[in-house]
Amino acid sequence: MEKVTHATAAETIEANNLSTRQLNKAIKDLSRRTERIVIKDPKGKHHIAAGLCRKVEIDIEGSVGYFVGTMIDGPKIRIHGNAGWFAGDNMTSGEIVVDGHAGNGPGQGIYGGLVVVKGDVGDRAGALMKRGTLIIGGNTGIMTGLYMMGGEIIVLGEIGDYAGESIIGGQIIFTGDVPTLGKNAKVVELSEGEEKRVREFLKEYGFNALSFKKIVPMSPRPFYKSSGETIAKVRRTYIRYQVSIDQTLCNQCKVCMKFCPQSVFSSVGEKIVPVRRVDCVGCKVCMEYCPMQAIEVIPTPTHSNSTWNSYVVDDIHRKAALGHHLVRGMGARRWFPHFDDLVLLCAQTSRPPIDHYREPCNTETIIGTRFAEKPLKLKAPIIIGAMSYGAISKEAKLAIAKAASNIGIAVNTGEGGMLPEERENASILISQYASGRFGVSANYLQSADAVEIKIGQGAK
Amino acid sequence: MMATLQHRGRDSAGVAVYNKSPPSTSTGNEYVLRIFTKDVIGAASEVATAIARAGGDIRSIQLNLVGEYGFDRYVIRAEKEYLEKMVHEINLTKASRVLSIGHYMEIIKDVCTVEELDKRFKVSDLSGTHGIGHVRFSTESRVDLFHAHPFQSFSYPDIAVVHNGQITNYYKIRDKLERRGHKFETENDSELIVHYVADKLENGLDLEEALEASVRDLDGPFSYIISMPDAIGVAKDKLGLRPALVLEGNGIFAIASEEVALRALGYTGTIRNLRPGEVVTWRR
Repeated sequence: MEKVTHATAAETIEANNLSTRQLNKAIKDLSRRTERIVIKDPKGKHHIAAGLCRKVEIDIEGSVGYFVGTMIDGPKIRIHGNAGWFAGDNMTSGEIVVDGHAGNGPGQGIYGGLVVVKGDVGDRAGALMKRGTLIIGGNTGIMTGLYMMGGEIIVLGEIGDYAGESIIGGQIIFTGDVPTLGKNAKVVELSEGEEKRVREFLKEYGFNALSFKKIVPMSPRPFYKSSGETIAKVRRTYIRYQVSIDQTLCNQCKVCMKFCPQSVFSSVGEKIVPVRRVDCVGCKVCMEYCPMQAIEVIPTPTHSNSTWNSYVVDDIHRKAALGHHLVRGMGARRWFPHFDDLVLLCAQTSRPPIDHYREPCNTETIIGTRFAEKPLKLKAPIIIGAMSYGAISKEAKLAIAKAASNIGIAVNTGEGGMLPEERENASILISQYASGRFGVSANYLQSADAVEIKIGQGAK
Repeated sequence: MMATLQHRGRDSAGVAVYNKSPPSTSTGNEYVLRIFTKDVIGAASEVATAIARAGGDIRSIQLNLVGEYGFDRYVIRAEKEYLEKMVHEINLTKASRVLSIGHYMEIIKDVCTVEELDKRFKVSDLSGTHGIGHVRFSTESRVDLFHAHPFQSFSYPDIAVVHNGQITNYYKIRDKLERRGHKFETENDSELIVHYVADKLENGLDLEEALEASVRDLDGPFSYIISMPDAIGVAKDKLGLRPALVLEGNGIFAIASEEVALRALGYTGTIRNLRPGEVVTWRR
């Protein structure tokens, strides 16, 4: 291994007697004033250099534990030993080189950068990768590239079985025998140009290999199956809404025909009549628009106390016709208070008795007054519940962000990452850190005003 | 070795140690009991009565008071088939409960850190042929002395388990085992493993076959170590969701969740990651 000379002298940290927290703080402090840090005697500590966002070179002399270099953005980490599970997990950029072996899941969920393991790795290497590169000099365990979405994995030893399990993007380049493939994975040959590119690329890291094959996804949406049927095509028989037009009032303006989303109305002779009443969904747009107020839409009365009432039977008919359950908003059976039902007695949020001439009286709430460097200042003690992008649409997310900013309260990103527009529009934004860690990166956590760690949830 | 893994859990710690020489070799039916006793007057005599009632004969008693509770060590002589009855009788005394019973094996566990455990019970001074240890970070069942690892089966002494993971088909298998007469002491899913393996061994399987069967039958993520008077076995689940590393060579066999624990031994053998669903056994 060639020695690299550096402009600034390397700073050394003796890690043996430090806790992980102290070690990471020392790394963070040193990275401000030096370009190279040497860590001696790491004693298999977990989470070394987690979340470091500086361009600094770190040499670790010994084996490390789990999550080395997790969520880093920039540093180059070299481990002269083995690494535990999840080396370089969710990193954004930078480089991690492991001279020895690595445990399960190296390069898991990375957004960019490079992870090199010279020895063997465990199972699920490069799981949930989005971009970036993972090079493995030795053999891999099962399920290499599980749920992979992008980027490139190069395996120079034997690749384990179920490689590319549920892969939907990116590619796994390998040299040995073709393994048992995972679902949605297929093996293709590399083009000559690509093979040359990979060879050149590997040479930089001291690997030599001659021929390659690669595993790519069969389909970008393997588990989505359209049944071909839509709710619109299912013929309904049960009339859920009684639609009637008072012909003595109707002036045949046809506004109802124009606006009815279900095309319930047709003109028959000179009259307009609700021909397709079965299609009515009870939106009452026709009632709103009718200038003569001639239309009436009434839900069909049902015996609600019986289990198999006509509404339920109709639902079953439709499910039978569709071949799957009906996708719709579930709602809640219980009645919940509305925002309008909240009455905030400002005096109650401060200590009584209060004289508003002498001291301010408001609903401001500060979270983190004791320990936080930047406490969260809310104008009212209300936090909007976490709803991810995907659970609700972008428009809904932005509307909530704007509304919350107007009244000075916090919004929550939910589990699936942060929209840039949401960040722009929300004055106080909480990043949710959930167990799946979807979308969690250094930038995601740093651009938030607060981080919420989700341990469990009761909704859905 | 265990102290290096303290960060994996601070809820409780425990070891099972196999002595080089059992309490007495002459008769072959001497057992070591470790009994947890409340420090109340008359507790010891109640235990002694309970042992006698189950046909046992006390050879020696070593009282060991830790705080308000006694962790007493009894050496007794009894027939193997009466052991279960004896455990039942002792547990009925209300002031006392059996922690471990074994011809070769002693289990020492408490709700504390590894360092504390060593201080309280002088674990470092014990000598033996082999043993297993555990630090607990509880997830599903409560944190107390009896839910700490290692677990043993009172109906099949001298076999203990330490486990990392969850057994998700716990109730299904517990139901089957209870019908076959196994008595569960706690609601900890790890206890299931020792009964499961004991059941397989009773049915004539050897340790390796029992472990292989467990990989097929038990659901959920796990890696666990089983110890017997003459063997140690380790098994990992089919998807490899929990870690297990094995150090072999130079007359040493060691298993741990992390490399750092194996390095702490100071040996330089080959360290190998267990493959998903793999079973490794060691025989004395």
